[in-house]
Amino acid sequence: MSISCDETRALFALYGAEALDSARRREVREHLTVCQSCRAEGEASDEGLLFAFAGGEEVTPHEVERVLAGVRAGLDWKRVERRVAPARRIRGRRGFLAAAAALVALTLAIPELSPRPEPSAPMPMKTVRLEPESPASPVLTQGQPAVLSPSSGQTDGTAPASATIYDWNPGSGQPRVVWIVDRSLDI
Amino acid sequence: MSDEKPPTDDDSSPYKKLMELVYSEERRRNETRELSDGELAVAARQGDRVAFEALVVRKTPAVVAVARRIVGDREDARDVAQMVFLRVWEQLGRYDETFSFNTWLYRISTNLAIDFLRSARSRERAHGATLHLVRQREESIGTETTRATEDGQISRLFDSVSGRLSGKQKAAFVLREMQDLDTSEIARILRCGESTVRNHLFNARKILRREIERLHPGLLRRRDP
Repeated sequence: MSISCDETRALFALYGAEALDSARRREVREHLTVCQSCRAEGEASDEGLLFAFAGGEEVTPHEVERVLAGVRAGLDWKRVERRVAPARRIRGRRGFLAAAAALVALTLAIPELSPRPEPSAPMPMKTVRLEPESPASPVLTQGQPAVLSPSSGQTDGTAPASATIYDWNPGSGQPRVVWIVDRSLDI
Repeated sequence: MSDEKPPTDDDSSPYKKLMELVYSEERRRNETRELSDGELAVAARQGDRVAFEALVVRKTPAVVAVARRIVGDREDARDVAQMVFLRVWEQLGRYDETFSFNTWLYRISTNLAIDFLRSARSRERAHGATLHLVRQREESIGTETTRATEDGQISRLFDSVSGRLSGKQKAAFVLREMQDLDTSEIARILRCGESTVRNHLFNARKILRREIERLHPGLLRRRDP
């Protein structure tokens, strides 16, 4: 304890008036963290000291997790917004282009507004044949069993022995799903 | 069945890629424990999300504590903390690493908490009649307590008597008395002069004393005139 109880109590008025330098102020506060009778005295005499040690509301790890989860969700949402925003701008530009094209078409359609072309040989037409679209994702064959092959402890140095790998459809030419289970991970 | 082939060397490559992805993140997470706040902020500014999350985990208790004192509600304080870290992520490009990260973080935290408090107060005005009844009940409960010495009670006491402080007064008082910061740092956080901070503190103390004497007579010893 760097200063005595009497010294500490004598400094309460200066503490409340913000007239202590930071070193002296720290000494007063440090004394109050270890001396209950001076702390009670300080709390009774100064509103600043009354609330200075108001604890009892520790932020739990669960709360930290909740905040982190909210931040992650917010960041993901912002990323989606950034992806969508350029598409909106392109849509807007497309709208402008469509309006311009409509105006040109209208201009061409009104004979008084557009110069009529001289009659000439018919333009050759280009024919585009549309192929039927392929399915977006492969279709799973019914009745074909999935292969689930757990293997533990990769020895190639990328994972510790505590990791277990579940592999669904390895090498079957079908969509492949791999789980890596490792309870030692702090994710 | 002919499709069921054993995994070949080529098939195992996804493991390696996934393992590398998962464990490199874990390795990075361990590395970040050694870094200072400023170093984490610089890494986060370069897009290192693991470093940013380490910063969130490390700083959430302080941000929630300050926000909790200013907005007066724990759930709201957590919401404010989320907004703070999203704002930090957005504005990391503006962070100057030659200054304390804490000062910058507290500035964002107090600004958002004060904004939140203002919007809450405007909502309160809209529902004034109902809240007036609630407050009357709170005050009647408060007067039953003659001595609030337990930490939790003191915390609740602060909530009940700090309602008349302005956002800046509340922020200055919380940062000074509860977070034990210097007036010079509070001035940097609130972007004002030290004399303004002292003024906020003086007025905050005066209002708090008046409210304590009104709601909890006898809790504070009367000062000599």
